Amino acid sequence: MTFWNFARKSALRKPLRSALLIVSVAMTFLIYGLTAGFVAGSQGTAAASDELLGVMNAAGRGQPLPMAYLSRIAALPGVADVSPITRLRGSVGDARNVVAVSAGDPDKLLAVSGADLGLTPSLIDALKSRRDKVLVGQSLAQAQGWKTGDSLTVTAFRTKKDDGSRDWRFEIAGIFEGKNASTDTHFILAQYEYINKARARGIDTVWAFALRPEPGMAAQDLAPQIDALFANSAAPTRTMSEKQFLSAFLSQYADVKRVITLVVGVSFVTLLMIVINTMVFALRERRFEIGVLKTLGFRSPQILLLVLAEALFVFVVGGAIGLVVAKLISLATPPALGLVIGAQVSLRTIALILLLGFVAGLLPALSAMRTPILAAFRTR
Amino acid sequence: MISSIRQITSMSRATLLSLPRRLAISLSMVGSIMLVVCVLCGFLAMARGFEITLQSAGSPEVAVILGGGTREETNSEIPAEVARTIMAMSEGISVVRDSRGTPLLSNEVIVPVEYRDHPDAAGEMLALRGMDPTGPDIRREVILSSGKYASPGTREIVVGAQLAATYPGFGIGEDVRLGPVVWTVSGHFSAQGSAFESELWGDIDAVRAAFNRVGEVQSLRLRLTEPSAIKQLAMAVDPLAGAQLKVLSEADLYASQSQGTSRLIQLFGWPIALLMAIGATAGALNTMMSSLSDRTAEIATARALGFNRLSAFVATWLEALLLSAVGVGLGLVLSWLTLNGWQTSTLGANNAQMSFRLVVNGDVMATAALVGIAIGAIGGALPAIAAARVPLTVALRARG
Repeated sequence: MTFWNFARKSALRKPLRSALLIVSVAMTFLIYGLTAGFVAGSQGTAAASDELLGVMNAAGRGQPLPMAYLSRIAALPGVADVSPITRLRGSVGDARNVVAVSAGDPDKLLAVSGADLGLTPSLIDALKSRRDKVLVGQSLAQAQGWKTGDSLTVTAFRTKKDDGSRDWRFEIAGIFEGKNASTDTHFILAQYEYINKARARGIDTVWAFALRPEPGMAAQDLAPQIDALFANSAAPTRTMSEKQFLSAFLSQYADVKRVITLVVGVSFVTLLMIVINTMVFALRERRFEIGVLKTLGFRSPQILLLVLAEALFVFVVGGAIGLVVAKLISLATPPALGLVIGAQVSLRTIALILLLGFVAGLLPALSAMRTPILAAFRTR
Repeated sequence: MISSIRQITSMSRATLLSLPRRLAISLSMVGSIMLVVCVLCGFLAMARGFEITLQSAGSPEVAVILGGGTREETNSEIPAEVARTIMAMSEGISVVRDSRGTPLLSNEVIVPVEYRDHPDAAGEMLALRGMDPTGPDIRREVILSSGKYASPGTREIVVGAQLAATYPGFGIGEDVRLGPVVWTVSGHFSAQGSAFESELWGDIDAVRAAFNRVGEVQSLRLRLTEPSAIKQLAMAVDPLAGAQLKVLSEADLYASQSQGTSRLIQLFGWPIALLMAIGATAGALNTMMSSLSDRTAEIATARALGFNRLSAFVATWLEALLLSAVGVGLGLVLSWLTLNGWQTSTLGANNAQMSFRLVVNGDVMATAALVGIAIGAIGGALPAIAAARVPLTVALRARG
């Protein structure tokens, strides 16, 4: 009988017990996979870029910046492209059906975030064909059932038109898909010119400037240069990367990360406690067998490996089930929930499975290894 | 019947007295149930704390008038003539009036502002409410704990107790930068820990001037003489149709804001707690299986001596229930000691930070306890059935 065969046989010695342990392990890694996927995906920062910079008013989000800053930022060495961004939030149809519209300069948008949002020159040409054309993100279009050619009216919460109405009419010129599944495409892209000209207040101001540094220029070096440019002006700026912005914004929703770390930590503690104790107990029942193995000439390290392999078996099978179920759930849930289990999360989960399996097996394995032959026989 | 009861008690006693032999594995069952109870308590306490903070915020005697067909203050807009018409109503509405007989009315706007404790901090969105000098009089539930209310036309703010406690920069007399201008903190107010305490209050004209909202009014507030007078007020403002006005009590306004978030917390918390509970049930089953295999010879001996199957079943099940009860008890004590009153915050209505405290109360504890006991009951039932069916002969051959 080979070593692995033997390990498998002893792991399945009490099939029910092993199955139950596998269930515990699977549940733990299911929780881990889901929460890690949640943090990585929805929470948006997975797809957010470290390279894209946003320049906002240092006085706070929502405070405008003058459009005049555009040329000064664009002239700064190291800035490849920059687009003004203004935002408009409103409802479509039902007052609870809230959508967000971001408006920018179409050509600059293509240069700045074309790759991330999946914008193509033909989409941008369609967008430019008339002032009131917009592009809609795939996830939003899917949720609302919109398709190219539809028109929609956004009733803005704040932004009024110069004729006093809040209804903004748009026509959909195309759908953008985003770079991959984790890209946030739950918004509408409009043209800055259209909104800027038609609004009653805040003409020639922007919500932010989005810019891409030239290749070879590090974003974190460029940001302080931009802020230094306007440090002593009426509206000082604050420049940060898309990722920093999103994580700062999300951290306000209860410390999502802290809650999740706590929950995952607690479930791992529970799991380790259950598995270690069960294995120690199982080995106590088998002290006699271990004594026999030692008498037959098995060396202590081999006994150690045997028990370790048993623990690893439980963890690998259980962990794999948990990870696969988590992946299936992430595929089954709508993208708006933002569960993304990509290669990075999977690799981290696998590493944790092996690590925890090793830790859980070590204590029982050491105690089995140290069992003296005589003591083993005395249990009889 | 009597002998059956006596069999059960003596068998149960023997089982429980043998617990020290399986101490470690029994403790792991207690511990895992304890942790499941803690996690569930945590989520439920968060949802409940959030609800309580919002539901205790509004008074049923304060009427809020919103315009533009919305139920949220941020999106609401009230034409100036509405306030003028109401001020001119000398009768027909039961509202509190000042010495000259004009209704006590406050025009209000709410602006999300970013606040940074020190220049490099990430910045939190806080709600800055601009109100007329009558605003504090209308909210009689709110107490000025120190300092004074903002004087009309000045850049002064009064700060809710929760915010003052969280950020040292809101001490009385301190200057804080909110938006483009610097404000002076003139006082602190408290409101029994409700959602108001996460707001900053300033003078309406100063707030509107600073944030480019001159002339805007988002909501009107009036003090009713009794809660039921709200219907009368709604009838009275109904003719001012063009503005699509909505009249509701402040209590209703805040209570309706709590539903979404507390449901979200529960939607997130329950699946996690249930998955953990399944894992812990598997663990409990294992523990009880071990207990069973530890006692097989004893059970068989007792059965051979004439004990019935029921006593074997009850003894094993009782052990599981007892262990889970200990786990539940420890979990409840632990979560009550550590979680109850823990202050946290989330993004509430108006896109601004809202602080709340976790509340571990009776029904949170009862729900968590039920789940914990269920783990023990389910995890113990199968091994207990197995215990009742231990075959006498095979068991006697086993050596302990």
